[in-house]
Amino acid sequence: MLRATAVLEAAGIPAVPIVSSGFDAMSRAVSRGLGIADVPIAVYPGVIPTDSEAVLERKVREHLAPAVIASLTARAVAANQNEAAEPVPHEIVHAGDLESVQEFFTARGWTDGLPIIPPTRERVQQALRFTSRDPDEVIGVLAPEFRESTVWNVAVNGVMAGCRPEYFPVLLAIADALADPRFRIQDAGSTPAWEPLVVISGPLVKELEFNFGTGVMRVGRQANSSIGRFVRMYFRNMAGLRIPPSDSDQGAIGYSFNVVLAEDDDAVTSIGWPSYREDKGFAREDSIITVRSVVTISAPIYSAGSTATEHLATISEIFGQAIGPWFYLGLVFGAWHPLLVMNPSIARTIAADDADKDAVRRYLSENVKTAATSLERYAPQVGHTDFTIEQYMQAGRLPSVSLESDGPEQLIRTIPDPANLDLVVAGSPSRNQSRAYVQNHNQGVPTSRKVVLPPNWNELLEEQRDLKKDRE
Amino acid sequence: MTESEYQVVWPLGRSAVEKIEMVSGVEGLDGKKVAFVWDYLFRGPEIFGVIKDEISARYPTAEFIDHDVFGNIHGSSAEEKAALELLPGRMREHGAAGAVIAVGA
Repeated sequence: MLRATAVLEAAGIPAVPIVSSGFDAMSRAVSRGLGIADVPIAVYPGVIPTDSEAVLERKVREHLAPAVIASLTARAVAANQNEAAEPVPHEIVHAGDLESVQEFFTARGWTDGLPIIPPTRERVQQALRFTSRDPDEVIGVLAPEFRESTVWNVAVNGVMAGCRPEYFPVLLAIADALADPRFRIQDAGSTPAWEPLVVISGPLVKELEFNFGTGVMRVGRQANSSIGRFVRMYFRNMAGLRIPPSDSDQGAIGYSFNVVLAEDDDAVTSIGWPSYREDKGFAREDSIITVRSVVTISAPIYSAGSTATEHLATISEIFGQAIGPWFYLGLVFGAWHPLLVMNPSIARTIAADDADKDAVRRYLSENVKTAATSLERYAPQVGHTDFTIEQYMQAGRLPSVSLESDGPEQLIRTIPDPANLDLVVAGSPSRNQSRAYVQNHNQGVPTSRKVVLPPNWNELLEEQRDLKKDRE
Repeated sequence: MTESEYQVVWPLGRSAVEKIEMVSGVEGLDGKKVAFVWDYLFRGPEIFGVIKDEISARYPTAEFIDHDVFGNIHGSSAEEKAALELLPGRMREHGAAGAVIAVGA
């Protein structure tokens, strides 16, 4: 909507965007990023989906329409104002003790509310030793604040988040993925409040001591936790996505950042399944990351039995409950990439029953379902007031096989394309649990990058290990 | 205990924003065409209907161009991105003097 405003203003046509109150501050922040900070925004007072027809009409007549007319006919074109100059990359912005650094960064919205490691030039340089890339290389520009992501500021934010220098190649791969336009980082401040999740697969899991076993998604291991924290901090500082008192993240409720999900390579190897990275088209010897959105996580899925079907039937049922009517957005936006994380014991049992990963994907695609009526009932409440399943059938976006039976009880398959289901083996080796991670349609589409190591990686890593031992 | 002093660097990136100069307003809407553009979210047509009434009450000869002329400008799908790119041309084609764009919520 604001992009349309910017397009028209740039073309010389006055345009008035309408937002509801509560979103005006976010809209102004996004407008600044789009270069249209001066354009007046007309504000609807209240929550549009919960107002009756009569209330909506009154509010539009009394408040919104006058604002729209004024914006079209009586807008004041402001004289060019000189904005306060910002610091420049590499600039020292503060000197002080630990407490004063925390307060200085907190006051400017540069932290996530937790203490940071002070990003001194020396610490940043330690990280930069782990790449041959130019520190000033611009990796991309991250909306909605449209700031340049660079090798340098990846290192700065990594230091702040508590990452060790040897994690830096992983951070760079993540930054490369975030800058990919297909990832759509600009939508990460939308109200569903999806969180980024990084999956890592390959030899680096062990070399950097990621936890891939019990409690894999808990805070508690430095590699998993600090890199997960870095991602959220980078969203904050480069894309400008901040909760109040800043204003560009409109996550209605949200949840805290995800730690990195590391694949259990030993388990996958012993089972005889291809690794996650091979699923993504990379070589077995590579280490890769994938960044994806997660909008909700299923309840723990315990499954028992000695056959694949016994496990997959239970997984299907609870996977379907987790996805629920949210699947309608997959139809609206034409993208849908769920993820299933399985304990090794489940993967091993399924594999022993002669089912490979593709068989798992096919089974879940055919059996994860939800009631079609729930989609049509739910979509207007989210905001898609004209949604019907019929229109997506006619448009060819919904394969006919996805809709089963006729009548009001018809079910819809909510993983229509098995190829878009990711599988990761991780977590407790001594329990029988899975969890489904629901991705947010075309926002945060899984984006993978190979982690590129410097030529002297082994030497540098050894150096860091020696330092660690000395300090312990 | 003596605390260390830390000299810390700026953690943000350079802004890549290119400012767009705001267009001057329209001098009255009588005899002018106002376009309505929708991202197919929330209750756009309901809101547009009331705004049209209010504009007509003040400017009886104002005319309107409905949102379906422009398609969905949400910008997520290829079709929507194309609608966004075509927006200025379609506005000129239909003689729009200004546009109302909704709904952000």
